[in-house]
Amino acid sequence: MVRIKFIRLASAAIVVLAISALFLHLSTTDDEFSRHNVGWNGTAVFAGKVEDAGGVMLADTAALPDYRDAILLLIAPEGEIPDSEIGYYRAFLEHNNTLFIADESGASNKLLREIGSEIRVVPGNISGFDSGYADASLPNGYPEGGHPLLEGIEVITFNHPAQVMGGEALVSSGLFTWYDLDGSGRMEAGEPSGRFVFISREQSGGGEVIVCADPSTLINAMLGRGVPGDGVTFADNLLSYRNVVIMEGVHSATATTGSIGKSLEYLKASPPLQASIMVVCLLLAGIAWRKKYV
Amino acid sequence: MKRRYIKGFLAGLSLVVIVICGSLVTSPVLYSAENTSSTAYHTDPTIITRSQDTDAGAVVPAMGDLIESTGTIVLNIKNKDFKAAQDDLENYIAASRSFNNLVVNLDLTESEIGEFMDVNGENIESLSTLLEESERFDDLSTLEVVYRDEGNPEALYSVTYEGEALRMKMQEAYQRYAAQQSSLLNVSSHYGLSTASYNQSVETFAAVVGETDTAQESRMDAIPKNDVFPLTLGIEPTTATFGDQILITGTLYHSPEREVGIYIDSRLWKTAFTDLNGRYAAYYPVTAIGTGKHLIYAAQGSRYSDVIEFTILPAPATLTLTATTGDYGNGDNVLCTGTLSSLGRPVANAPVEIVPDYGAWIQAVTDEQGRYSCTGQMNTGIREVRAVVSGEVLPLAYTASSPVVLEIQHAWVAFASLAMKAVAILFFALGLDFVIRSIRERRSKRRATPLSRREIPVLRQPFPPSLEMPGMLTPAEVTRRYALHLGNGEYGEAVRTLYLSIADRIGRRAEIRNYAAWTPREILGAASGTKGATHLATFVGRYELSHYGTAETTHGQAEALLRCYSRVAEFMGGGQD
Repeated sequence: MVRIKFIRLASAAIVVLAISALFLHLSTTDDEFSRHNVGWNGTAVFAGKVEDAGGVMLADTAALPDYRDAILLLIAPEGEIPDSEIGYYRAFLEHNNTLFIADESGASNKLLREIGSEIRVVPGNISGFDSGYADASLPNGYPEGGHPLLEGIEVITFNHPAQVMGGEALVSSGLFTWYDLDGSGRMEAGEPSGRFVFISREQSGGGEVIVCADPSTLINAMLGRGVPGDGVTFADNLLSYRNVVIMEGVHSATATTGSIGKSLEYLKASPPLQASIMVVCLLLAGIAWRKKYV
Repeated sequence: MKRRYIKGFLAGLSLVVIVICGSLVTSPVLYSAENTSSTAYHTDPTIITRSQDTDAGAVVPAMGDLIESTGTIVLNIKNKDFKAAQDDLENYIAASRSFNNLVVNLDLTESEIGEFMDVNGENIESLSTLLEESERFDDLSTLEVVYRDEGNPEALYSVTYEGEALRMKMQEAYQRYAAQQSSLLNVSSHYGLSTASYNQSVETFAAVVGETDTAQESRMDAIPKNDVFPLTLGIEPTTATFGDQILITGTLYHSPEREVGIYIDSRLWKTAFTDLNGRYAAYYPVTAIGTGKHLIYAAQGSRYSDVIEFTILPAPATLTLTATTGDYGNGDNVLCTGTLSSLGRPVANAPVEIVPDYGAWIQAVTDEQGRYSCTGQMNTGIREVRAVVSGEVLPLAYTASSPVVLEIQHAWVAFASLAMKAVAILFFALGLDFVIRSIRERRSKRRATPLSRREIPVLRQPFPPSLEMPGMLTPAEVTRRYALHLGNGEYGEAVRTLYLSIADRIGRRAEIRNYAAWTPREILGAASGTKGATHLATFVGRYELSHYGTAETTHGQAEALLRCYSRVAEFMGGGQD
């Protein structure tokens, strides 16, 4: 009898473990930059930091005008932001907030233009020999000037960055950097070389706009141990720069997730649904208890 | 039937897997972190090697140092401090070599830095020429004084003509040096380097050449001409290229059958004899002389001709290269062969350099047919190799062959590949052996081996006449019972019916009453030597397999046994037994 009980318990434990593993597998994703992606190319680590710092995940841009002394992190924007929402970003900046955009595709250029910023993201593959790696596509960036975001930073390792133009340069590449037009990884004749700006800032619309030409600086792999440079410090500085940290989850690739992940997101964002599920669980527990003891 | 299909499918699948694995046995491409750790946006840094040092930071200062070095070299030459100039030049060459290695290691050869490296190489050549020729020209000035004091006109002429050749080389060197100025200034301004010293060196270089010109002209003016019995010289054409012949003619007045020396670039090329009228002639084949300007003059005793300048133009060349890897002894791992021709003619005795992408080189010389062949040792890895000829010693334009890509492996890789192939063959052979053995074993199992029954006299005795044996079942009856069992799905019983029918026949023949207690092989032993024993052995083997096997008897097995039964029954006389 004892043996049968043990076998049942063991079977139940295995089933629970298998279901947990399956759920964990289905609730995560391998989407690029996704904050639900715990792999090397996700932003789960940075999103965790944001949550630990009391940050909020923005689900509706209409809420932007309500924030004060805040930094809005728009990481890896996807697609163009509709005209109807541009006003919210303008209003956000008008309240002396900071808009931080990390983009290498140029998707943010429309937003930058509409909010009156001179900064533009120029897509392309900037490679450099000033690198902590034996790979020119991970060039170093060096701070210029004394912006608070760059406190404690001597070098930042970028990962397949583009370049930004306009504004006041905050972080630039080393001298041996070039626009790798053919993706060969070699500096060749005809490929522009010299210094390129990776992070730039400017005062715009009453607030501050900071544009980084490489959202990959915030992926899990780049915030891990062993990565040379001060990328982790830079991420921490982003979180402590203003009182409130907002992670944009509407037009950002960080919001992409699988079906179960979406359901969980919806559940987390819907208190009535949470309450309903709680009631159902209590009801089921009550029925089970009644069957056993009454 | 179903199981057979499954087995066939699995066997086919295994074969496909083996074929796929076999094709990859020497260069397996398996899953690894590297396969999935790079996307269009980024690369996983954990799979990339960390660089130990950042040599890149040393490139710009090195460029600055090299540019600054040129000024003192030329200044020392101008001041005739050739020892200091030589030391500076050697340091400059050593620094350039380090810089070149740095550029190659950083894979910057095709960038502006690579362009700077090329310009710097040209400058080294120009400065080396300037130093060498200036030093020699200075020696000539000393010798000139000595010969003039000695009253030695022949030596004086020789000095003067050699000076002329030196002057021309220095002018060419200056032109090359000055031609690099604009590109070098462009690169320098891009990297914010100071070029004051370099600009000064260009000016000083021009001044040195100017001084040489002045000195040489006064030296030429001082040569006493033999206007009574002059030695004349003329050439045709004055501009030639590979394969041409330059006609050299002249007259040594009033001097028949005399030996006239013809000097090209101050070196005796050939002697010609004058005819009765004092005329001489020779053809100079343009095959082994560098491109550029050259000097020619003739001399006989104390009589010298004027100096004539001629130009060799670079001819287009065709250079082929075939390279193969292997073990060619002495550690050589590459064999390079090819041909060199120009304007449709083979180029003989031409030095050909085999240059791999990392910079070192192997040299070969063409034979009379323009063919070359050499072996050498190259670094392992995927290498791009070219053959190159320059116009320094040949009247050819700089020519490079089409690149050849080689995969140069470590010796142990070749061994490992061979070993893996051997292992693959071994496994294949073992597998084949296993399959053959299995087939043989299965065949042997189909035919059971007869066994002799241990005789127990009590049991093995003829039927007593009083006891009638029960009537034998006819094949039709056996078939009917078989079909009945088969219809009920009792395949084992159906098979048993067939066996018992056979055993009954044999028992009757051999007078075995208790044949049902005998094993099938003992029954087979009792029938050994009879007609159809082979078929009987097959029947018994199949029966054993279905009756004693671990799996349930299938319909297919029963049907197969029925066919065997029919053959055995036929040999036993069918229903007439």
